[in-house]
Amino acid sequence: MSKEALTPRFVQLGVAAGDWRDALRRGAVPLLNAGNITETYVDNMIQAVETLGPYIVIAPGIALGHARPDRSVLHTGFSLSTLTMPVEFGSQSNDPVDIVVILAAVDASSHINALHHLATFLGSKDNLALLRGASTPADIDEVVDRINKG
Amino acid sequence: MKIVAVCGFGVGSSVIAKMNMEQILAQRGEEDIDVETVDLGSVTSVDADLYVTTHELFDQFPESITDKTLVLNNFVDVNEIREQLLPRVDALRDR
Repeated sequence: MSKEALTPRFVQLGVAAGDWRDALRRGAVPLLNAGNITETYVDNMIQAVETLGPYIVIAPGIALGHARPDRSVLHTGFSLSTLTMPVEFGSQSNDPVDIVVILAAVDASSHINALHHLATFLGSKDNLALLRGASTPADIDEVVDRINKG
Repeated sequence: MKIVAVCGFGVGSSVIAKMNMEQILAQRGEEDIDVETVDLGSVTSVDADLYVTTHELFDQFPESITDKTLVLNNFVDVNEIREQLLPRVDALRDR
């Protein structure tokens, strides 16, 4: 990943997902296309939820899909997707999910800077409103801009 | 004092929680509190004054540390974390 935490190619708006597994699979597409991860990583993310529960739904409506850093991650990065229809992850307090972040890290430290930008962005209700209402390429640019500045 | 944020692998949600807690503690001038992250499988090997996690992982916590655990619904909302975290920190100070 370059100096920027995020570029527009890693943001998807209005993704149609049938269920939580589908949401994680579709949310991971930009990282697969860019060669950040392999299909194995996607399977590992899904398995993590099956094993540990839907703890990755870290805030109301927001899932942070991720798995353990291993060889299925080629480059550290993350993607951001909004869903047309929210899906249930089975979270006790934060369902349904309409924002899916997929995080991939090659080790335990390379993604800290990116996570910092991400956490700052997600911590603002204004930013979440912007993201949830986003529909155009210009909106994506604005989201990316705010994340990189944060 | 030591606080540990717990998630499945210690690399994702717990790191976000750690960043937000460090920010909150720094804003209040708390300088002697260390915040670390750990994965669920290693949680019993880390001795801490306070463990922070989500509902789903809390259900899998060993009973020995449940009294020392704070469950957060929201790992990204700094105001919500502050409201739950600081009373626990104060209670630990008063022991």
